[in-house]
Amino acid sequence: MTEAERAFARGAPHTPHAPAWLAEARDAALRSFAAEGLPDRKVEAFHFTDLHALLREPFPPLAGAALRGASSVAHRALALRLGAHVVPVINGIVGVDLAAGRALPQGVELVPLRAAMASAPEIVRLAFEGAVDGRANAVRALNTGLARDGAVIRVRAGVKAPLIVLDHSAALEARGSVHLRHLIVLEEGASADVLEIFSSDGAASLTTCDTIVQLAKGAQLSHAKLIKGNADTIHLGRSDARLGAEASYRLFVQGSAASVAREEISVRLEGEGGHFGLGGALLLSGEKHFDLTASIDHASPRCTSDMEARAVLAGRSKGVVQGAVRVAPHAQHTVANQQIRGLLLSDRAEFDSKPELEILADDVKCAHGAASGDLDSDAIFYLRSRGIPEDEVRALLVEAFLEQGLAKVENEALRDFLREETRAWLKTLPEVRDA
Amino acid sequence: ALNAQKKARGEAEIDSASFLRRVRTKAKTLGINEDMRKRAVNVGVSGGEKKRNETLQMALLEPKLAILDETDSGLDIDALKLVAEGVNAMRSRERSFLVITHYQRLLNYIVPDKVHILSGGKIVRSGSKDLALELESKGYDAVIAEPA
Repeated sequence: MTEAERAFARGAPHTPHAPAWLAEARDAALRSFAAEGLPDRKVEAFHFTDLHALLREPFPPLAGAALRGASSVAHRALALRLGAHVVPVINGIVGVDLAAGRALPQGVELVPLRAAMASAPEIVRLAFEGAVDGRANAVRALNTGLARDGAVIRVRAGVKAPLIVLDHSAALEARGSVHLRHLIVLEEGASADVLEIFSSDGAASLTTCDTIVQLAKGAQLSHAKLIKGNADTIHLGRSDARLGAEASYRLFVQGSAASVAREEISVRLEGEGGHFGLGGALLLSGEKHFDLTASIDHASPRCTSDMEARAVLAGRSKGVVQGAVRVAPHAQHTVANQQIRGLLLSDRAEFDSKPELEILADDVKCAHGAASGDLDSDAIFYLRSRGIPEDEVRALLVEAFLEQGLAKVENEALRDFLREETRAWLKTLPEVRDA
Repeated sequence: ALNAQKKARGEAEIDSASFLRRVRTKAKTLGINEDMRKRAVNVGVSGGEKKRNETLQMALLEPKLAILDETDSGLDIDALKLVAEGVNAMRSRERSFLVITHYQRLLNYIVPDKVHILSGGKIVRSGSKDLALELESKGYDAVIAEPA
């Protein structure tokens, strides 16, 4: 075992109200992790992101942090700008919305996981399903063993929830790790909009954050994850979703800045007529590494899925996008589409794309495409001939490239917010600045 | 682009509302309708529509020098006249146009002040608008062979 693996395997103290089954599940998960260790390149899903090699130094799990401080001015500003309910999640502990003292509407419940263990233990069980054995599941095992809190969001039948922002920040005094397990449950016909932001400060940190999503018949969830960070941040996130009939799940993942980040998405379309749409924007420069790996299981007929991932790679960064679509034998009339595009702004950047289709039904429409290249020199010339300086032209063309993926986000205020994040990132690029 | 140009010229930038108004006015003169303006640049447009769009861009950017490289290729007579009107409307002592063409017809509508013939990458003869007419009747080889 490496130092890193040992530090994880040691575990962390249990929370006060943890039911017995949970304590057992946590211990079992950590034992499983200790036996397998972190996945390396021999595990197919981690082939391009060898965690065993990348994580050598330990990130000891934070033992019992207290929630410090009230919601910040920044949270209030964000709440106003997006018309959202902002929940600070600091060092792995979920706060309540202290921003405006605004209550959530009737039928929308948000409680910290640590509180739900006492008030609604049956729902907490939903958050801890899923296999933890085997090297491919090591990150989930780690998160199961070490998560002490998270947000439990439940929207009752027919209710439309407002935009909820989970604003995560890791501000550690010494190197360590933070682990969260979120649960989003939408009852029949309910709809919700959730934005998760991850940023960090202070000592080197590693965050694992698993979000479990369960959508009942006709429910609709719009979900976005904005992963920021810095050269000392490691981010390992997961989204695990199960969709009932006619349910719709739209997920947008935007990542930049973290040293190593990986988002693994696993969606199971369990009822007829379900829909899953995934948009991705990977913004990488320097030595950054971002891996977006999705697996979509069409387990029922008439479902549709589509994936539109776009990566912009500068410097010596590395981007990985993997999409595996599986269509079960009885899942007739499936429509599935994956498009992966990489824009390489430097010849030392690396882009690994792997679309995958396993089709066992015979009346389906499945397509996939993957392409990468650099900026179109004709397009650059055209815009320069209209008087636009070259570095602005490059920035414009990069934004245009990303725009198609962004179209997956329905909330206009959120789209604008994400565009601004992209613009801020573009300003840090020498390839654009000094072109 | 307009604001980039203004920045370079040391002028104040234009705001979106004024810009849109200016676009609408000029677009109307060029016969470019509302939904043409909303389409993506050069996607699914005909040659004529593209040229009209470029003429609009020129009218908005008000350049000191405009280079029109084979502007007449692929255009029908109506589109040609429209482009020519756009150019003629912008002719002034403060502006130069370099119009590159293989055909006389365009020059019936955009009557040139000076004509240069290029051959093998060099200007081999220069003259007035009559030089273009001479080319049309005698052909390039004959005109180039003649002493200047």
